Amino acid sequence: MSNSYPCGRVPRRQFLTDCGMGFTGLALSAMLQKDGFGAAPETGHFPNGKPLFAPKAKSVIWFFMLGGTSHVESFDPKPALTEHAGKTFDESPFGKAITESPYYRKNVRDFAGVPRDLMPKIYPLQIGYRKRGESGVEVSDWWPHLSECVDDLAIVRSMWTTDNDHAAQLQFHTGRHIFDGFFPSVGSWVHYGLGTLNENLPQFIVLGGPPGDCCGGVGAHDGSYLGPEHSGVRMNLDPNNPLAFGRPPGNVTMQQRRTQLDLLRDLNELTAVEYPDDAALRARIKSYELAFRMQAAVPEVVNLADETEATQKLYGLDKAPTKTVASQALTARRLVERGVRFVQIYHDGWDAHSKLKQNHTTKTQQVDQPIAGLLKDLKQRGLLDETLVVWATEFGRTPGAERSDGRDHHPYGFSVWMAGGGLKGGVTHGATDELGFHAVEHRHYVTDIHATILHQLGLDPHALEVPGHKRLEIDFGQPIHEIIA
Amino acid sequence: MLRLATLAALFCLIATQARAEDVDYLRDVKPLLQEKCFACHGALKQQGGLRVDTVASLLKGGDSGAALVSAEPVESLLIDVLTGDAGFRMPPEGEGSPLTDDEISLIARWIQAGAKAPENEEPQTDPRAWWSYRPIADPAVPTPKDGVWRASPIDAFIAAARDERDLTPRPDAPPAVWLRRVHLDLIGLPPTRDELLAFLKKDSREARERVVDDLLARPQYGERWGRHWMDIWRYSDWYGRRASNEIRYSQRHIWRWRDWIVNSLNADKGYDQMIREMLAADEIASDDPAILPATGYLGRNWYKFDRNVWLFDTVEKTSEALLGLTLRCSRCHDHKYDPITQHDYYRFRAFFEPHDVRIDPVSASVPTETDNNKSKVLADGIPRIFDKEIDAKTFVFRRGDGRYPDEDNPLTPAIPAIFGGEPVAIEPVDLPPGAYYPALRPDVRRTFVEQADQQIAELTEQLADARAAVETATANVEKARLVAAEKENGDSTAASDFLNDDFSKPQPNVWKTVSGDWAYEKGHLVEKAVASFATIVTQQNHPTNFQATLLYVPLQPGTYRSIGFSFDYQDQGNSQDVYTSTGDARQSVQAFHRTGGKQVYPQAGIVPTELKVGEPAELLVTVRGTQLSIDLNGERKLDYVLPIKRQPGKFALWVHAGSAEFHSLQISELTESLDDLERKLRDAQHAVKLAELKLKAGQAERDAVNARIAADVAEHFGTDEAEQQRTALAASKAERIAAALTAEETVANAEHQLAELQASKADVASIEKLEKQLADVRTKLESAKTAVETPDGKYTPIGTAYPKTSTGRRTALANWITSPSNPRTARVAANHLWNRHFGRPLVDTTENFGLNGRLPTHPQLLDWLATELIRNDWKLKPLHRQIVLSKTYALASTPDDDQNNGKLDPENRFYWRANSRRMEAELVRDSVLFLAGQLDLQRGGPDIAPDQGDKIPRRSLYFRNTPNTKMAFLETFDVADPNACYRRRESVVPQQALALMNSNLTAARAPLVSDSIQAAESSTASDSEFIDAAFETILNRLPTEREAIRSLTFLTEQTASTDAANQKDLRSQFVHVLLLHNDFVTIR
Repeated sequence: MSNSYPCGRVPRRQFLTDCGMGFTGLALSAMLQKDGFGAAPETGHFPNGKPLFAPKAKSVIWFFMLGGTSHVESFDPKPALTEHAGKTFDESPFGKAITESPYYRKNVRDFAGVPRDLMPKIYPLQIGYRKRGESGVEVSDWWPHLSECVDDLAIVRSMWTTDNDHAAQLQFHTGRHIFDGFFPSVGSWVHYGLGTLNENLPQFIVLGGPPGDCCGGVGAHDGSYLGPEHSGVRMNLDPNNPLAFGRPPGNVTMQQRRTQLDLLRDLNELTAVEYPDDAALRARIKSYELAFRMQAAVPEVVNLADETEATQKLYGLDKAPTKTVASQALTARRLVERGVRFVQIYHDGWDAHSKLKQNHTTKTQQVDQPIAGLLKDLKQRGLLDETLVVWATEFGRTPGAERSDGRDHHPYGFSVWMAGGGLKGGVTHGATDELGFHAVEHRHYVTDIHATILHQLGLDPHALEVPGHKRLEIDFGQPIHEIIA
Repeated sequence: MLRLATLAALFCLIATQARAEDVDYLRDVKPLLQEKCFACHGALKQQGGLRVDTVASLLKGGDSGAALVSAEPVESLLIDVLTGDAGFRMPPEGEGSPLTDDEISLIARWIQAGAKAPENEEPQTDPRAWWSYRPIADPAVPTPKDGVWRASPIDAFIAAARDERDLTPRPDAPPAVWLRRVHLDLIGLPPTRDELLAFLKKDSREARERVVDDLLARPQYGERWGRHWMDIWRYSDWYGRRASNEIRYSQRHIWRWRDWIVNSLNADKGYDQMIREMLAADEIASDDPAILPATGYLGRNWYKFDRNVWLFDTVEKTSEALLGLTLRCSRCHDHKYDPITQHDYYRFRAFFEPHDVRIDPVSASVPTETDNNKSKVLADGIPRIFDKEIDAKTFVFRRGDGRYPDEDNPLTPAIPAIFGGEPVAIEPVDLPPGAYYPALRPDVRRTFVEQADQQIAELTEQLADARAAVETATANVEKARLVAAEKENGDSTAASDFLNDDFSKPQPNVWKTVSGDWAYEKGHLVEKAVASFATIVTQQNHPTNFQATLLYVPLQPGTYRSIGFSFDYQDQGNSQDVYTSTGDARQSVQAFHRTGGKQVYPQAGIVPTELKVGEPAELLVTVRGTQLSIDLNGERKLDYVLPIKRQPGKFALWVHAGSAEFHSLQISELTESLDDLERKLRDAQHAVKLAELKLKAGQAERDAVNARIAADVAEHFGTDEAEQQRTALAASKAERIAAALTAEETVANAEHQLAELQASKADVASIEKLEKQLADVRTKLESAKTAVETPDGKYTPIGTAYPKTSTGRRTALANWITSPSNPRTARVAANHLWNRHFGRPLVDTTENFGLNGRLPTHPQLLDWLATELIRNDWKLKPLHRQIVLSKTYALASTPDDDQNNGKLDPENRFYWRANSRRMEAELVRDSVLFLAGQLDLQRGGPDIAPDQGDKIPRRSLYFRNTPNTKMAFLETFDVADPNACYRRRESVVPQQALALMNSNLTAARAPLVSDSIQAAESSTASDSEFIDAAFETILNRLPTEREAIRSLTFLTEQTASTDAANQKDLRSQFVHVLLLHNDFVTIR
């Protein structure tokens, strides 16, 4: 085992990098310690399966809207758009503030070398909005269910990013523009930094279809140089086949498999007599037992029939438009209940260049109730305190109209919210200008969301570095302390 | 984190928590200075005249005076600049993160305590003296203590280093272990049981040499080691958006580069030559289609959206993979560890600045496909590099950002100064014609003519067929005239029945249900589904001319209650139709047709007619040629000319938006009338005329192809201007003659169609439409004829012409890289090679031989290997051979009994035993298929979709692998990440266990492996014999006694019955267990 380490990596912790085992990468060391095998890991070195300081949250559920949700028609309503509808920016009182802003064009790295048009004709809000909850935070009417949870949300209205095309999806997960290549995703950093809470389940699970090849693809949940064992494991919601290779072929019974694995263990143990210092062999023996248990544990997790009718209804499992996201959200709760660290849920189709009203009406209907249902359910079970729920999208949409009835990509200012996991509720943080164009107050780059999550999990992003892979300051981000309770 | 604002605060810290004596300079302070400061204030650079690599130099200081004052942190400039109290902070912004308060405090405490220095502190060594910048030595072979280790230089170097450390080598591995090791190592497949048994009978030095020579000569060697080099050279199939055929990364047909790698290795092409071809085949073998694909090495970096990303990758990955040089660090600023400047980086880039990618044709007969821009692209071709912009300028990018080029200072190409600066003479290359005009390469040019010849052959055959058809048609007419004369009645009708169905019972041999809910009830056929075109169709084609009588009753359910039939039926979107509609609003009888999925209802075909639900209707339809008539309940409703061409087809009965009861259907063939036969003869005669014209046009097309090629050749390869003009004129004329003949054919066709339409009394609108078309094509013909008479030298070139010269920059770079005096290239290659034979490299950081990389464990051995590589003309096979025949390679991988070695060298850095390794992903899959007797050893060709991995038993390297798309099974076993994979990972994760247990790859193959083991044994083999055979086949060794007993228990204890099927199943299960065995996926 001590003879290998992975592509392009300089090992710091030989025992780990050499073996790279287990879903957590720490599974092997855990396995070996339990078995009394293997050299003790270098003491004190992080990551060693423990947070650096007392964590507020144990798990993360990460909803990501692919395509770009309109911030001005969701969590950052802008009445000025309706007031000045039809005017160009220059005809409105805000023209100079937009194009002469120090942020205009400065950070954006144009895809294909072509800047996107300004879209200067102001497009009115396509939906009403109201103050919600005790906090009175304004949310659009497209989010009726989440509006009921507004007192649990910490909304960050001042996000910015640098990619004006959909590879911003990759960027939101890795912190880097696609031109810089591929880097570990936020989920894989969490996975790398924290130990496992349940050995029978993968610890970083992905639901829903990832971005396309154009936009980072599986890079959005990949471990990159941390290694594939830190990549998100995709899971299907089909209880019969939830995990790749997770099910014996039809004609094999569990009893047969057990008998086979008993023989296998004995044969491997006999080989271990000859190679007593072979850590890989030890790990492999263990991995078969783990795999066998996983086969049983995984279908159980996705079996939503276990849930009460009331719970199913709360998520919207009983209705066609909400059924898919409801299953994902409910599965996510069952996963974090069982100790899964990071559940990433993709939801596609928000790219409303035209027919925004129709598009967002449909899309919000699909996700609003399930996500709200999840928040309510976590809360009633007392899980919201230890579970950090994130809702994000790669960028917002332009205040101006693109063509007649849609909005273009907008990296200059947009919204993300988080809930639970030791964050404040019913707060907004940061602001965009009157038209929702530039983030102007408490500006946050996407990695500040990562840093906030890691902080709540008891991790310091600066401690998450792999020798040979230098990270820039902007990669680490800064926790948003203002929204931390 | 709070930052200390002032020195006062710092002092509180020192005063309250410091015990100065707990700070150690070498342990605590110097590493900090080294990490943060040495790059600018060390051996390489002395900014501000300051070095900080010894305490003495700190005390001495630089342009601003002493950097530290012993015992006086407050007076020490060092502390001021670290905290920022100096008015600026070190390290400067963008050059590294500031020191933390704790770190500054450490330094302050050390100063406070007197800034004690170690005795004889050595300054940082000059990086230029670092081992990998020095020339490769040809070291003397040492003499190890034990004579048996002196036989080969490799063993001598290894043994000498081991001697120094008091390590005792393990004995040789058992012969079976060696054989499996060398098979998997050299060809990526295990030995067969026969090979194993034969080897065990006569293991000797000679036998081993024979095995190795045999394996190196097998084509599977190129596939196995090709995959290794594909890792290092970052092979990636194209990706982007497959659904819309949009390429964003890499190249179409990049597999040709993969095949070049495999072929080059099998041919034992020198490593130096391979590098020269990958970097510059377009300059050194510019018209050789077998070698050009080598430049896929560069084409692989292509990125649609950003040229800089593409070139960054090219520069950085080339320097890493080939030179162990981390140029990447110098993209934004001078290198922090190595003597490489940002300037060096961009001058290296200048070698690549002019290059671009194009696809050369391989044959005129390759079809095109449509890409995302709706452009036609070749379905096959050679992706290759060429210098497109000879004068492209290179600039330093400030902070590595392409938006801020230093345009005042264009750069010329040069190798990094540390390696000698302006190196190499760069000579522009005049390209041969085949390089700048690939369509005219003889092998491609030939295909254009071949294609035209092929076309002529087909047209000749068509003409012969047409002439034969005229003979048949003439004979038919004559026969009919005779009959007519005899009968004096030429227009006989009814003859044989094609179909006569009273629908009393199903006739599955006649009818096939397409859609709907058809049933036989009470002696009738009923359809009650109220569907869209519920349809049944005959199995056979109906006669061309026929009379159909359909008796049916429209039933109540439905709205339109359209009931009728199709003839000339191809499918539900292509047919001619007759029906009645007993709709609530309107009733009618109608003829219409469907074409290309659309229903067309000509006004002329609609006859409003009163019809009632529940009343029987009798539809009598006569179809003769293009004439159609409809009688409903004995009354003529419609005489109609079919507006679309007749074609052979089936007869279909249907009900649309209604329900019906069918009582009977008769279809009888109408013998052809004399008129029909005469019309057929005219058609046939016309077809001959058309075929003749087509053939003439085809021949003219071939002349035109030849003339165009001749003109292209004269234009691009010749110098004789008169010849150029003459051939261009000829090409122009030939092309126009062909065009005029094609136009003539179009006119003839239109004339014939019009004549037939007029003869058939078709409606005026249709005739007028054709007349207009005819006029149009006649005009075109006239202008085509005029064009023939006035050739002007303009013609369509056969292909695309590219620049005739290349800059020679990449050749120059390749020549420098492959120069025997290059201190890196051979060492890096030897290290890659060693790594893949032994599972660990001599320099751990294979892509970084710089100052931040690891030192070689065996520097002399590395140099010896590098020298040997060069001595062998850079051929790899001789080096493989020396390595795998060494004693070092043959060592056992078992631990030593007294564990002395394990204590001295737990990581086995000094090769006291062999390293056990996990198989690479490809080996796991290929070996399973191989054992199952299914592995298809066909080589080369386009990448195969990764979801076919289970169905197509080709070797794994032929399946598509991109950063985003990998075969799931292979991914589980750490298949290469095409973005960067200088070393493979060897993880052990539960998904591997799941994949081996449950994938179809293993689950479905275990019985096949079991069967083949059984087949090799005698039919009465006992379980024990089977167990031995299975172990030897799968793990290439016999079971130990205890393994055998345990295995036997599995096979015998599970059942009381000795049923053969059960035994077979158990044996399959047992084989599956051996495929799950740790030592199946492990190389011992």
